[in-house]
Amino acid sequence: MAKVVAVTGNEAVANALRQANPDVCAAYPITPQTDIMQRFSGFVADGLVNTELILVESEHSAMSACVGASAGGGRVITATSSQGLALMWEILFIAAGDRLPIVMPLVNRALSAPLNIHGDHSDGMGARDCGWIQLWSENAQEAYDNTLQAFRIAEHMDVRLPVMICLDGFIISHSIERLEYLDDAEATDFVGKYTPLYPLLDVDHPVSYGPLILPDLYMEYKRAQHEVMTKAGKVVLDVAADFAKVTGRNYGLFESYRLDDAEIALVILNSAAGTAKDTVDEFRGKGIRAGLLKPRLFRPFPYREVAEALKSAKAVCVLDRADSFGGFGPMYMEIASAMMLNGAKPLLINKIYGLGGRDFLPEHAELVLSELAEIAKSGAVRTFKEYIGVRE
Amino acid sequence: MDNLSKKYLRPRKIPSTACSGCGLGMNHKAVVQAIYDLGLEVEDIVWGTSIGCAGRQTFGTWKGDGFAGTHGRVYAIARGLRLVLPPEKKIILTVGDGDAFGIGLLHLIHSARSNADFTVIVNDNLGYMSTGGQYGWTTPRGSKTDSSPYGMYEQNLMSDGMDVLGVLRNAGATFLARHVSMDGQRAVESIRKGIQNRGFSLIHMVYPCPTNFGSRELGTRDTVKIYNWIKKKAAPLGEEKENTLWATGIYYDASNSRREFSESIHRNIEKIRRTGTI
Ligand code: SF4
Repeated sequence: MAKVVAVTGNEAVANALRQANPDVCAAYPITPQTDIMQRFSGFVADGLVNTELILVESEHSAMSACVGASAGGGRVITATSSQGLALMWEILFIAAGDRLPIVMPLVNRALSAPLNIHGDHSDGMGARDCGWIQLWSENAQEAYDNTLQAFRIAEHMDVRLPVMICLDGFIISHSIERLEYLDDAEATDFVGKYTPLYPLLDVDHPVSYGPLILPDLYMEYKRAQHEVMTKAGKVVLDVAADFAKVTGRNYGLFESYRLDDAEIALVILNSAAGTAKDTVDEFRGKGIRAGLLKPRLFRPFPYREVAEALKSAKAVCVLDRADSFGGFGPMYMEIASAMMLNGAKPLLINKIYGLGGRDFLPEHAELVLSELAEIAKSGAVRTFKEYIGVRE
Repeated sequence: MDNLSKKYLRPRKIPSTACSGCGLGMNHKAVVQAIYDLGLEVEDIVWGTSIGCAGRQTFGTWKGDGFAGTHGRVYAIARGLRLVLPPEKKIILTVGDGDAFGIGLLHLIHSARSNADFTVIVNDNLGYMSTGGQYGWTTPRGSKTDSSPYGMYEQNLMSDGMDVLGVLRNAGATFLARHVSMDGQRAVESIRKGIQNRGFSLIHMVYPCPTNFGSRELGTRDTVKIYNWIKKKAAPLGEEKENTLWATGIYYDASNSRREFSESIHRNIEKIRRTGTI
């Protein structure tokens, strides 16, 4: 039986990690993630998990230790935020290139400079191209559910890739929400036993991880990495289906909210999607056909499915909580690519919001939806990319 | 705000955002006092800060030029800065123990090796206190922290004959001192000498953190308790007792004995340009 509790996002995620009972955890503190590793180290100290915990001297070392332990054949976790992820960047590629199924919650926080400890998505978006699977979570429940599912996805024999679970710093990590835990036995059963593949500890079958590969073979190696990413989407859906059987909670590649006949639509990630859904309801109440798409699987990105889901929309706004300076926001670029695939040509605008933890309020969603309604009517776009909720 | 703060620090940053009872302010004040004693003005100094309690609480307090580095990188930034600053400009860095002796140790060692001219004040609150109180690399053995509920048992840089100042001395540092924040004028004098050394200087200054270290290790946030706990475990060099953790004073003073990093680069490059050889 599921247990209903009131917990923070960090506590929820820490408990998912406990239920997965990893072999090795490498930890280094960074706000707002610290609380996850802090709680997990408490589980280690209290003997609730069989995990070897290593407290390292930097995030670069944390991810390096994860690579070593994972190549050795263990189920391995860590967690980080912001500058921590930025410092790991070199090793993120090693983890993915070596096909090591490490699981890492990322509590999203802005990047320096200037220094800021609050939530935005620049850290996760900056790691877009490193070969990790990324799952994004609106609230504590989704972060918990995604963490449990992450082990199954990462460790699936068709995948064997590291997975990052993203949740908004402070807004979700430190807020208390209603949450349904799986029973420990149920969760452990769902996650399953870890089967190492080519572990370094199997001394009868020696292998090399990450050797030098020159132009004669490097590209084939990368082609294989691309290939496995094309398979991951199906595994994500299969795992979600199994999860629904246990919990009754359904997950897809993204969430469609009142999209079926929507004329205007928002695309928005994580906690702000929760805020925007209420505004969508208000617009529906006024007879305006508004909808919302909340991506969940960002890497690999489900282009065709997203394009299909947005096909009825005449005007779409992609809201990004990160910027690619000099370009459009990172999510905008994905949605634009998706639209190309099915030849759909909605009027597509981009708003940058909520950087460094700036609040995203219902009135922001209202402004954007009103603008979209105007665009859908007139066919004229005033500006394609714009910052909202900012002093000019 | 006292006259020293008025002269050197930004009024809206004082008092700082540190918890009440935090000892960091004593270290901060000792640095400013040393600057004053040397007759230096706001424009004579570029002040760099790192991450954590020491970084956050001293960042942006200096009226003059300043910069904030990412965790552990401030020494690498300072080396770059040293190359372009006029030699008479001083660089002072206020950092924490996790920054200097953990994530940034590699950069610190190379700053010592190259004898780069700046003065590092390592404000040691005995672990990672701004993230809630995890043990670090100078946390006394046996101390209870959030990540060492049974007592810190790892090898660290301050026990079993190990001393991080020894590491830095062997790496080439030219001025090294250790103090606790209650050392007052003795600490000010060490900082003053550190700033006067044209080369790499480091002053390790332990200070009391009542909020996280005190509450875990001593079971109380009582400021007086943690102050006394630290004071009891400190003694001047040469007067150590059995329970002394921090012998205070100047560990090593080879001030102005070795060519400084930027001077060495500038001179050698100039000579190679001129003669084609070193
Ligand atoms: S946590 Fe401790 S070291 Fe940090 S500001 Fe508070 S008292 Fe000072």
